[in-house]
Amino acid sequence: MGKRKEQILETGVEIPDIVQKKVEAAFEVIRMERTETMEEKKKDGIFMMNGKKRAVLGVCACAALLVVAGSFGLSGKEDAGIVESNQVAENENVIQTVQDMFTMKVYAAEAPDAGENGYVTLEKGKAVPISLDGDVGYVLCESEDGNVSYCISTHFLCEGEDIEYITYSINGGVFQIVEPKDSTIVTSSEKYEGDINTGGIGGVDNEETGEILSVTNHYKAFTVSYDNQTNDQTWINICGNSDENWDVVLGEDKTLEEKVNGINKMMEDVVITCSVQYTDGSTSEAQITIGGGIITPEGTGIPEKEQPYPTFVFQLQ
Amino acid sequence: MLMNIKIDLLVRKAQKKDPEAFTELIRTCMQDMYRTAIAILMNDEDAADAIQDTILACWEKIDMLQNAQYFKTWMTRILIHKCLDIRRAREKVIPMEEYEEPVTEDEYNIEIKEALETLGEKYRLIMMLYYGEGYRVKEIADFLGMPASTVQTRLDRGRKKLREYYQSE
Repeated sequence: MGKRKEQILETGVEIPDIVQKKVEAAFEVIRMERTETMEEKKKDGIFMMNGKKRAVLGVCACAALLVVAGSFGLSGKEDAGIVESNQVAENENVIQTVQDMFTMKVYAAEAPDAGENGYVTLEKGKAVPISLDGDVGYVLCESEDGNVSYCISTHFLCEGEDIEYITYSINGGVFQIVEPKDSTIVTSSEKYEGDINTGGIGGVDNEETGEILSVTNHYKAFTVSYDNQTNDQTWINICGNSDENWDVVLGEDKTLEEKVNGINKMMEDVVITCSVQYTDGSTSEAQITIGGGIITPEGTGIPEKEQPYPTFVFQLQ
Repeated sequence: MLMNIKIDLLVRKAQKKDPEAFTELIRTCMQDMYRTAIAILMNDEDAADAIQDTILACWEKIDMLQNAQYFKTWMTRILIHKCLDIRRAREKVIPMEEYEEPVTEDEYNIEIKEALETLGEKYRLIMMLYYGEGYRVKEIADFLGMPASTVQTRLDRGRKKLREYYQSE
């Protein structure tokens, strides 16, 4: 059978120069308009995106709980088996980041490009799945009001020259740091006093007595020194009580893609800002968001999991 | 489905006035935007104006879009209106001394333009929306404010016109 004549309308088109120029001109107007708005906000001291306020909830009974953590045991650095992840489109312009001065890495031991220490460099347009290696992972819990609360565990690592401190702040969520009672990596902080429904991930206890040797604190922002950013007795978790209903996000009737979509919606207001302070007093910053992705069982080594399932991914903005 | 997830995420970011998310969103639709514009206006210069106007209008109004999955449909509707505005303005009679030749010659996508020329104004847009961009009959009927049966009839006749044109070549 010959080619349908209508198929001529389906062929790819070349965008003419005049169209591209007018399109770029429109984009430039939009960028300039946005820059002016942000400059005005800076002057008023309202700079930066503001997350939604979360209601303070009581301790939940955890009617439904999803725990995905390395306690199931797993494989080494095989192919992460990411079927597809929700990637931020490749952005050529950066709103407020000086990327060539420092790099942010996240612990993602199963990712194919993970370094020997299990860290992956965050780059614009690249979604990095959280690691399920060892004692990190995530917990999702259904709160009393039927919404999803989350706790995502990872390690961040900042690398660069002449950096003295790194301050992490978060909108739309809370940092949970679990660390030894008698030592801390936190040099200064802004505490969070509300309730988080998921409990926590991490901690060390005395194997003989069972005494818990770790302490858990919640922060809106915390600072660490460059030379002491993390250690293997400290867990830095990202927690929150979302406004999204458990059944809507993770109901049994939801497809995998719908769950990923639900996770995206759940995390859309969460923005982590990493501000570095250099030895000369100057500063620079980067932003990280968290979205949804899909991971295959091969990528996790979790034998109980027979199907691909949703996970969280980190994205540099 | 995962491309839809990506679009959904970009729309949400654009609704929070993230210009980079918005520009990326528009870039994903650029081919279809050009196809629609050229099907109505039949020249690249007017198509460029219509697309530019549409981008700015969408940026201004994107926070009013209630359902992110309908972004493309919503944007296409705005584009069609912008194209029809330009076409109406062009059709006004103007004195010879005010007439300006198009700045550029249309040297791109000649084959598609010839096919569209063959179809004529009545069938071009409907055929392009259906075959070029994958919209359903009901969606096209919605865009153009006409009964679905009319859209179906014009598709049938449009196909026939194209077949006749290619047979006569």
